[in-house]
Amino acid sequence: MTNKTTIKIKIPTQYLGKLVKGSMEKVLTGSGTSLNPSSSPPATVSTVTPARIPNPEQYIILPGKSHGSYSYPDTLLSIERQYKGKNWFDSHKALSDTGFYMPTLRQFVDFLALLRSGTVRDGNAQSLPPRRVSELFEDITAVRDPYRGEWLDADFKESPGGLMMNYGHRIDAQGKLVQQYTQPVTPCLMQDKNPGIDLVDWIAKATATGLPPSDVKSGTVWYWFPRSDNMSVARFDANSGWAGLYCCGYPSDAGAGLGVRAAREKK
Amino acid sequence: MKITLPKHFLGKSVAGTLERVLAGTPTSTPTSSTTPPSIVTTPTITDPQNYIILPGTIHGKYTYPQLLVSMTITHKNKNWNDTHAALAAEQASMLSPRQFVDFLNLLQRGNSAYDGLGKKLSKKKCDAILDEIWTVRDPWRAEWFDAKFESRGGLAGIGTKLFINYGHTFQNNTVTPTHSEELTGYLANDKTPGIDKDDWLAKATVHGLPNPSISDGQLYYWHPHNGKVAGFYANSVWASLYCGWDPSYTDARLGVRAAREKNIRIKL
Repeated sequence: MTNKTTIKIKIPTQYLGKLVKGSMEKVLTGSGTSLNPSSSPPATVSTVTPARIPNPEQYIILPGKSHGSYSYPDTLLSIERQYKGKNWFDSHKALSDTGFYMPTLRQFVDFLALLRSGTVRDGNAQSLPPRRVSELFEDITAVRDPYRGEWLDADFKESPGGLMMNYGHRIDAQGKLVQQYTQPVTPCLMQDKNPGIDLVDWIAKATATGLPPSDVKSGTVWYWFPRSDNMSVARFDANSGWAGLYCCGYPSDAGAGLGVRAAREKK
Repeated sequence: MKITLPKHFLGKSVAGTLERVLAGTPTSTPTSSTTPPSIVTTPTITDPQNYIILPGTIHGKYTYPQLLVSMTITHKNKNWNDTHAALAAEQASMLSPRQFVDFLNLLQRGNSAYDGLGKKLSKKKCDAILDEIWTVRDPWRAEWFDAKFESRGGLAGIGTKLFINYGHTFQNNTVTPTHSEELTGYLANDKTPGIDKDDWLAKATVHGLPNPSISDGQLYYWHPHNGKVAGFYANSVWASLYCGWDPSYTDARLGVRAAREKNIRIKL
């Protein structure tokens, strides 16, 4: 007489980040190669979800971050600068009309840090090839023609408490541009440095508002500190002579090479 | 005691060697790594002064003979397969990652590199070549490596192994590897940034890849993936060992460092 023992094996629903369901069928039908983890780039096993937006491949996912009292959610940033030729105010208006807003200086610094990490996903949650990532970084920072510039959402205003940065602007129901955040500018580097500040050190040690700290290392990125003239906003410029953070731009400035990166919360 | 002779030594077939030596025709015999060449004669090269002698080396089972390696990048704007074809037409080949590591080490030492005419290279010249390869600055510089990665085996993603194919030849319009080995003991994740380049050069695997315990540094590293090939590139953002290059990719800045087996006469 033989004793029969029944062993029940519970199959997990996922293995190595892949759904187990249907695996056997795929293997048996000869399409099992796609199940090979080494054959796929990391993006396919990521938990990052695609954005629900038309043309998600034209955006980069900037992971949400907290910097002191300022925080922002996962954000989509357009790969290309848009609305070139518009001044700072009109750029806000154009972005708002299409459901976007202007990236803050802090988001811009985090964007540079993300690009430098080499690990960047587009709005489809697919990894960008590293060469494409470095091309994007160079497009922003390389000293070369033609002129490239982008507006940043940082408006400097003098107040009884000192020089403040207004940011997180949105256009309200009355069509008025209203800031969501106001924060003291200092402590930060409060003198021009041309040249320059060290880009990597700035990215690593930027203040909560994204400005370089007073002890930022010397380098090749030019820097103009925020002015207290109540008509200075921030932008990042690059041309054949220099690349730098310009915190004393007139909001009424405009130029063919000066645009803005469209930002919106990723959903 | 029974001694088993290897089939290959320094990339050469051992078969018939003894007969050739006894007959007085020891062609293509490797030289010592520290000995400058007495005579260099490579009929396909008209500018040996633009090449560097890379001594033949043994890395485990992988050996290669003494090579002449170009100081500059050529054959730009070709994909990986077309680059192999172009090199083959000139009796040249592409450097494997391991050969590239050895090449960098040679330049880094700065006191033992010789050009194809047997003239010792100055430290300044070695540094200039290294600067062109890996300094983070404009413009872009990029070069293909002779390494293609291939996943094999396993079922439903279990037990799959990643292989490196190298030593490719181009015959009958096909790029075919002469070596195919399982990748082991290498850093199997991206590091951006980065790995320490000196640690990489000192402790690279037999296939030229960084080992898993490599120190942190500024050299960006993207690990091998199935169907991809390796290369090195530097620009104003980073310098990187990139093992995820699509072989069909082309770029006006991406080329290859041609290598040729060095024929040398030895005084007996």
